[in-house]
Amino acid sequence: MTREDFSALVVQYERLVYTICYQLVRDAATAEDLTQETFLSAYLHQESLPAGYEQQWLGRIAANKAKDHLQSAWNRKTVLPGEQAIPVGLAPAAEEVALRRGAAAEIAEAVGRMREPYGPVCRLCLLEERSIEEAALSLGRPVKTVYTQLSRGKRLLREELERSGAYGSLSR
Amino acid sequence: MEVFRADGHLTDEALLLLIQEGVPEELTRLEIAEHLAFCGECLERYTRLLDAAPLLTPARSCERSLWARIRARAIQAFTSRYATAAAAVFIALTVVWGNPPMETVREVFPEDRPAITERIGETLSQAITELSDFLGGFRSHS
Repeated sequence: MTREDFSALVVQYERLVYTICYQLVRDAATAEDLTQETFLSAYLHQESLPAGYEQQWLGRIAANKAKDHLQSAWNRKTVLPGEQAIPVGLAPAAEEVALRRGAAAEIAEAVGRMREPYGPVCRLCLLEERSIEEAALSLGRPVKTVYTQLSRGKRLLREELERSGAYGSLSR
Repeated sequence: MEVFRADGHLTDEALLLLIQEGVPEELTRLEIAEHLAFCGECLERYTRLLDAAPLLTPARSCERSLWARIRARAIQAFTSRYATAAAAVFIALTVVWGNPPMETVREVFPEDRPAITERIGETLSQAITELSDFLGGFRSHS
């Protein structure tokens, strides 16, 4: 693709990409940055552009950029200072703490009540003890997505169990 | 509002609310973005709905600044590649001419020197040509 062709692509789809970014992040300045990031990624990976599917391809990149931005913002908000410093392997997971307290049936019930997209991920990984890769294959989702959904799902599960008050604090 | 259908795909209601900028919760928007990032079916439904909706216009077009960033990225990649090549050439020259001759290598290196010098010359010439082409290519955008 020549520079002129790529410039024409930018002119044709800039508003669409900006609209997608804005509707997802709801901030004009961030959406402008993400629009530029989208086209920069598109330029750097233009060899993977499927001819005739420019709109879908750019839409997917834009959604990915918005997702990464929202994910970072969510992590900044939800990870408490010092929490990241606890090595994962040293702290028992919330569901393990609850299981040790003989709450297997309640955990399974709470997982069963979990909404999409967390319910199926938590059911496969926590109840059926499938690996993240197996769950990703089974659900048709990328491994990285299942990983973040499992992490967020565990947090929601912990909050739900703590809210019920039956198991005390499950925080690490 | 139900964001996901029982089959795991996004509901029409969620997509319409997204277009009408009616999804206030950040977590919900993250979940929608996460799904659109991998699900071709929902992305197609979303872009089809966008076709019928008025698109937003950014306050500043990204086109001009985009080319500046592409150029900066290309210069960075270029300089990084040739800095590595220059370091490799420097090490090679140090090994070839810097070390005191050793019995085991004395028979080999005199023969290799013209070839090495030729290769270094070719590499430098290629670098100069590529740099010149590269900078020339961006003149129309600067």
